[in-house]
Amino acid sequence: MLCLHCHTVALGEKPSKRATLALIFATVGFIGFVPGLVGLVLGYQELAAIRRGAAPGSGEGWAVLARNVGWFHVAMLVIIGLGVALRG
Amino acid sequence: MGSKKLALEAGGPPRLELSWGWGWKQFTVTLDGKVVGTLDGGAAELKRGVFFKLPDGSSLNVLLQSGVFRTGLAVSRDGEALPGSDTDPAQQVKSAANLLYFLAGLNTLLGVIALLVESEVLEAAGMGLGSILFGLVVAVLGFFTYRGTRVAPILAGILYIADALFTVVDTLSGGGRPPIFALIIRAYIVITLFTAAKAAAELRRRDQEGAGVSLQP
Repeated sequence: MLCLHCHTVALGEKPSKRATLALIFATVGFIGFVPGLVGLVLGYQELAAIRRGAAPGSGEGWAVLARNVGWFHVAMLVIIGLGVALRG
Repeated sequence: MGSKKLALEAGGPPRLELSWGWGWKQFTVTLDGKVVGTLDGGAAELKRGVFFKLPDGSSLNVLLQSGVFRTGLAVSRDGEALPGSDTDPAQQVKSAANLLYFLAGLNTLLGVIALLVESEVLEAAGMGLGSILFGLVVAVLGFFTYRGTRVAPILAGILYIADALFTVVDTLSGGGRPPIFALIIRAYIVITLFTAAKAAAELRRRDQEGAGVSLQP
């Protein structure tokens, strides 16, 4: 766990590559939704790393957004699955 | 009636709490659990701006800003907007990006439902594959807005202006009345996006100033 000063310093860093990738996958997930699942997993991993102090805190917003959008994609896959099943 | 917690510096813990009652009365500023100041003038007094002296000697300014579509508190300390406050440029950029992702999700959801279910209402509203693609475009613009680019929120704003104009023309040519509520929503979206573009420019200016200082001998 970082001390307050270190956490503040860490916030001056750019988000980690994983945080950026998480949001990229979450965004690309709007095509087909499956990439959004990757964004969801990466988002959770990044949040865990930030809480451990192993990743810059500046990536927290990215990871939270990727996680939330990822859950939206999960919901869309469920809706599509239900829709196809009902039509079938 | 409401409260807001803010950090005094980026990444810091939310030590400052602002709370208020009905009509912005009983406005109380608390730092680390200790009351710094209160005022009971309500909205009228807050709109003029109020200063509070913090224990560390810095000056906290609170200003109630109310305009079309938005009412918010501009909170600054020694002239610098506090992170997370309504006038913090980083917060404005994030809000716009979150709005874009929300709109992308909404368009995508309606498009998918339109494809799965035969609905005249959705079809008449133009929902379908087109709205799914629109959602993708908006999501990409949301991503670049979150990254702090200036162009993305401007492009998104132009997209929604075009969408609003198309809606009006389409409705009028069909002999109907312009959908006022939909236009008001689009106006709110456009204002938020252009505010974010301005905020992104401010953040870039601060970054460049910061880089300039670090390069000085």
